[in-house]
Amino acid sequence: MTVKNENKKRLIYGFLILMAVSAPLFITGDYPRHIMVMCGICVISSMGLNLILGYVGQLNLAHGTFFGIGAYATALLIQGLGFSFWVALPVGCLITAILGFLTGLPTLQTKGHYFPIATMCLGISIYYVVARWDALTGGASGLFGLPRPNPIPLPFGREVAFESTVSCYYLVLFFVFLTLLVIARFTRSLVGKRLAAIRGNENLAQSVGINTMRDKVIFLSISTLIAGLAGGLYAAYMGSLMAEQAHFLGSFEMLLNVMIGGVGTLAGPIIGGILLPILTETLHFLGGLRLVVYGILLILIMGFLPQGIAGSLRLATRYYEQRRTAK
Amino acid sequence: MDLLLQTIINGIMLGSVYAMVALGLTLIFGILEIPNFAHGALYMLGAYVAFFCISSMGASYWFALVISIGVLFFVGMVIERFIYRPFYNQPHISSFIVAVGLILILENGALVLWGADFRRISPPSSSIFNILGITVTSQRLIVIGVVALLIIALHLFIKKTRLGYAIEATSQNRDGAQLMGINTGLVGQATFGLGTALASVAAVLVAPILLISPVMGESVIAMAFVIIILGGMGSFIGAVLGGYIIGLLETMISTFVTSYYAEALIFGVLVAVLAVKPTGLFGKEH
Repeated sequence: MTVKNENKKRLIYGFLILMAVSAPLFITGDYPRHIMVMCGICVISSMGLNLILGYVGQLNLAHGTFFGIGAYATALLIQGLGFSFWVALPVGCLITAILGFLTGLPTLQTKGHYFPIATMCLGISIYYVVARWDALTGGASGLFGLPRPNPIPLPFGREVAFESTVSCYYLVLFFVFLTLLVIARFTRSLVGKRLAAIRGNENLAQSVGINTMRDKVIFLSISTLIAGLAGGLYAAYMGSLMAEQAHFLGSFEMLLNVMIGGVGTLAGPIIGGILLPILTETLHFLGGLRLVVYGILLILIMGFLPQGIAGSLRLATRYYEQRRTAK
Repeated sequence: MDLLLQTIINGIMLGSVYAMVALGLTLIFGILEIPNFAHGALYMLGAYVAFFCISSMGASYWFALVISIGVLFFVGMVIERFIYRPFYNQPHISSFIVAVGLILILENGALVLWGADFRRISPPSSSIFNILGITVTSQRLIVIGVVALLIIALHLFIKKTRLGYAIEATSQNRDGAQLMGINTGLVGQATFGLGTALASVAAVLVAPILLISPVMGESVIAMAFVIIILGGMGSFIGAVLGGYIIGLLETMISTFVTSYYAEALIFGVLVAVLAVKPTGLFGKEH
């Protein structure tokens, strides 16, 4: 029974991976492919948010700001210091993670309301710094003319270049898989299990000797690192950055991704991260009203589908299995 | 010397705005135990309601202020009843996320209706006073005076009226208040309306001095949260004193130190306080 299920699962995963890898064969045209790249970036940053929201149970309202920090850090390392993209990206991620770590130290020891409040204030004030620090960030007008990632040299004088949208898609897809692997490994590790205990009952977890503070800070650092990774990829792909990218409203769309897909599940942010950019494209005719619709959607999901799509599917299959075994 | 005096007047003016917004936020928190992240967006809505009354209906400034208070009181009651209340028995995080949805609706709704441009409400009187060698516009004096009167009135309301007693009792002990026959649901709804109305007062009063835009609530709400964390979440006097102190501090910093990063500096103070005392300066241990 379980072996059969495992095999079925593997088959589904394999099929999905094949779909993702072969997608550019079916989806031609530059604009749809551009949306695919954006979906990938969206998936990565939403997976980061899900890590802190779904596994630690804390709402980081500055997640979009950390995305912006990663984007600006990577861009400035390339443009200001002449770093190669392949050095700038990890360093940019590291800078973001260090800032996330420093944010976590004072704010995660608080309980209940303080973490979202503090991160909201942080997000708003960092946005003002980014928008006003003309000398570093270009202020409100932003940064322009960033090069695409440097080509990777191969033997026999060939190279992998990142000029086309398809090549960028594969670049982003690589990082989607990498992030997914890290998160899957991480949430099933001892730290992940300890966190599940913390979410269940923090006082009890503490009393059996779990250092709850350390685990939470680790998760926040990794979550912001992933946000920074998505930001760095975004900067190199788009070639320009605006102060808006560091605006805390950016956190809200990622939050919607995670909530639609299913908070606290591996598949959730992937489903949401693919659905929402597509939804955004189809709702273009609404103009500014689109975000009003998103707000309504977010409240409705909280009210009627708090588990999201992935969580509801899981509940449905479990119900179905139980019915079958009962017979 | 003149500069210092001018800065102090401006600081008290800004502090008045902060005190009003923080008071509403802290009242709501005291009763409902939710940090209303959408408070800044409601503050912005208050300003736009007045703007709409003046520009489209030709209302006078004072009439627009009254309309804005009424509309926002009603909006606050509706939001509490139909958006926040269904989530009271769920984990805190649900109401946080719902608040995010509200911000998206309100800010982008304003953006669609009135555009991203900065708008201006003309002051009811444009006279200028000379006090101790500095010039002060009448609007600044109106802000300072009206807010001071409102704070006193609100204090009397809470300490001397039946509804005020009910609000205070509910914030001290919800279950106890309910056992004494207080309709805590209604009290919560009324308090939410009152808190939102206070935000709209602040927004309409300051609108002739600072311009209005769909994002005008963002820096104000961040400051208001800093204030109620420092002053103790749910504390009346903490919100008032904290409002004036942070207003003065911000004006001082932006006049004498740096005009760009005053908000960031004050946020740094908040992080430092949280690092030392995670429940806020005067906060209760939970």
